[in-house]
Amino acid sequence: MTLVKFIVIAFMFLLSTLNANNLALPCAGCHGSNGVSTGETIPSINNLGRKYFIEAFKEYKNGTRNNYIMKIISNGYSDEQIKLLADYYDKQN
Amino acid sequence: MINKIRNINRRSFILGSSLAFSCVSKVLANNIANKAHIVVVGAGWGGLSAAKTARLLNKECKITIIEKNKKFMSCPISNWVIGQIKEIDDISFKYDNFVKNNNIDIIFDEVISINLSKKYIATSNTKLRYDKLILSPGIQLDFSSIEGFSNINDGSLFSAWEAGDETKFLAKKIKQIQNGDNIIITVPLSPYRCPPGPYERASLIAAYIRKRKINAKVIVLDANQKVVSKGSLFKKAWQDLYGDIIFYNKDSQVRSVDAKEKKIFTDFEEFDYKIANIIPSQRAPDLLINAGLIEKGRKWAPVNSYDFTSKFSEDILVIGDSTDASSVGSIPKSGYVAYSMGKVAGYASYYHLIGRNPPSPSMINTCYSLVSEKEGISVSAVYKYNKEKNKIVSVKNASGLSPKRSNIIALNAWDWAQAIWKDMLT
Repeated sequence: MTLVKFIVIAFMFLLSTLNANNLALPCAGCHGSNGVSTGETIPSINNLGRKYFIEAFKEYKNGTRNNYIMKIISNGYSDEQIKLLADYYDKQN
Repeated sequence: MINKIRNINRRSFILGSSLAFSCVSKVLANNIANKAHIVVVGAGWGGLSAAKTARLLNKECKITIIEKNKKFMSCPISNWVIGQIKEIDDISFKYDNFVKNNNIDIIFDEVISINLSKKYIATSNTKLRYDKLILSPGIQLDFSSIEGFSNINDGSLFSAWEAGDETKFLAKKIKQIQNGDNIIITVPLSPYRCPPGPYERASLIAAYIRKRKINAKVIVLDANQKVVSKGSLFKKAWQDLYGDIIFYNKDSQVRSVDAKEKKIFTDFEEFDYKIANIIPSQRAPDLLINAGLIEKGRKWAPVNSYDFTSKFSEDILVIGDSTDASSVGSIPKSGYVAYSMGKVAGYASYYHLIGRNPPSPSMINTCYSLVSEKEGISVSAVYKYNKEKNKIVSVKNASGLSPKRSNIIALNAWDWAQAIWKDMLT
């Protein structure tokens, strides 16, 4: 059972990673490849730490953090999707 | 107790065998994908993004892009060149780094035909067989609705709607504006590439006129009933900044042009011009029509909205401006949308090759426009697939305009351009 469990978990992990990429890739349009920004006025979003990423995203969503674009974009993702985005960008260098 | 252990063992055996079978199938499918040839037509916003995404998912397969132009010239930001804010070199890039970093070949040639049944594309020099073909060919300008236009070949009329020599030409003409000149910009009926583009262009030409203190007018002849994109923000900026320069005319489709007398005619009025920037109707290129990927009498290519496969061939995906909004859903023909569609198509082509259903599409659009040298406005949205409607739709509450024009939006616009160019081109 342990081996089977391991394979199932590994398989699910692979799938979730691929799906996170699929969600995360379009963010690079503003925030740069792998979330590393090229300019001074749009922040990098890589290596922020999962907790900070999720909190910031939710603050844009509930209006306590203000940015004219992110208050729109943040509404495009569910809590579960925000976690996947946080996982993905936490690992980018 | 013994029965229980036997049950667990049986369950483990079945589960283990299924997983082993699934893993073997996956390995075999990956082998097929490794040997596949993905051909992409068009190294613009959609094509580059699609090719790069496919490479991200599979390091082994062969990916070839066919592109007409040896340099990438960005349509977004090209209005800044016309408005004398940037130079043409600021929006022109070589493909060298893209080719080197991604192990993707680019052939600089024009595709002249696609054979759907034998799965190959042909240029005048070569034939390439494909397993998956991603078409991101942009638009074809259609001047046929403007009477007399085809007889005018003195170079005085142009669209500058595909970044390149005409962008440079219009920029040069704007630099020569003098007192008393009328500059006319015509806007075709929607849908067309870059909905806010004509209005940004009018704004930046007006900003140049204001800065140089020239007594000239920008006349916008819009075939639509209203400003198609960011209407409230453009109108407010025009009212505040250019009340004596920009003259907007709705429901004014250009019908004919007299290049000798320098006059443009709509159904009801005639306008004198010094510079005429005719942005004509647009459609998907002839290549798609001739290949049978567009129904007779239609302008754009119908696709499956989940993965952008053509309605006429499961091995062909069509993305970007060429797609038919009545099949995709109500999304604008913008650079960012083409870039987002490229990512969906990159995923879909790889997943199809390994015999799996691709993940549900998730796309972003953010589109900035300058209304003056230092102030910008924007529109943004997140899009997803809606199963009931079988369309791409904007997520609830995830679409909208910037509240007003501002300096930070103009700065964001330039940072966005640099980020997305780098992501596509390296």
